[in-house]
Amino acid sequence: MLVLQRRAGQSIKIGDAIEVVVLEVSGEHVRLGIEAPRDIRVLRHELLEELTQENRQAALPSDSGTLGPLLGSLRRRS
Amino acid sequence: MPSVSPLSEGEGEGQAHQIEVTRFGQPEPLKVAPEDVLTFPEGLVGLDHLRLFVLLDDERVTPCRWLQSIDEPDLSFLVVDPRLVDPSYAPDLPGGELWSIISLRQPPEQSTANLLAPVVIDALGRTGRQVVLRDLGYSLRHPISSLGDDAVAADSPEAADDARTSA
Repeated sequence: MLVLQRRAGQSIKIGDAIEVVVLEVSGEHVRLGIEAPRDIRVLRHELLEELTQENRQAALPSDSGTLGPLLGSLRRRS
Repeated sequence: MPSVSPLSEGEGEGQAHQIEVTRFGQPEPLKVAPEDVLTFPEGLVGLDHLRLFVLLDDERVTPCRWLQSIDEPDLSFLVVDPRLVDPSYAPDLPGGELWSIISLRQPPEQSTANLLAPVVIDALGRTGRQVVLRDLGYSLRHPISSLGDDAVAADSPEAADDARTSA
């Protein structure tokens, strides 16, 4: 892993399109500003893991024979 | 084991697919016309190998639809118009058709919809993306059967700190 030391206000570039700026360091917290193209997902690692878990759980609705009550509820709204 | 059999030469676009899917425990053949294939350049979050999908009507699951993977016919997602789940749903997105992925739970009334990371299909109906909203007021697990309830975002308090300012 590349390790760099930066101060508030300094930044690093990743390729041409991505810049990570250290905005503020306060105790245990670091505030980062990230410039990246819109098509690059920038996510907190924990959120990425949550999203991944949710997508994997959502896949394979194999037991869909018991969908009745859920669909009934949605149909009443549509 | 379901398999994918390309009906014509070539990769991706312009290709029909004959797959076998499972619905309600039963195998069903499915032919996907080239114009119905949706390409997801980045896949879904955490499932980025899934690039080709088709959005299927199925009267058995109305008003939901199936977002069916073509790459892995075993995998399909039940999706719903997010405004049926949250009538005030209006994320700041440039446009396109919005679908929320449903996570089925037991009992089914406890199923939730992912309002934080909707699937957005472009106006031409060719390309799809799962977009993670910067507005973290929307929940990753929005209860479906609590119409009228204000669902609370399942995210951590620090989420509000993550607003991205456009330069």
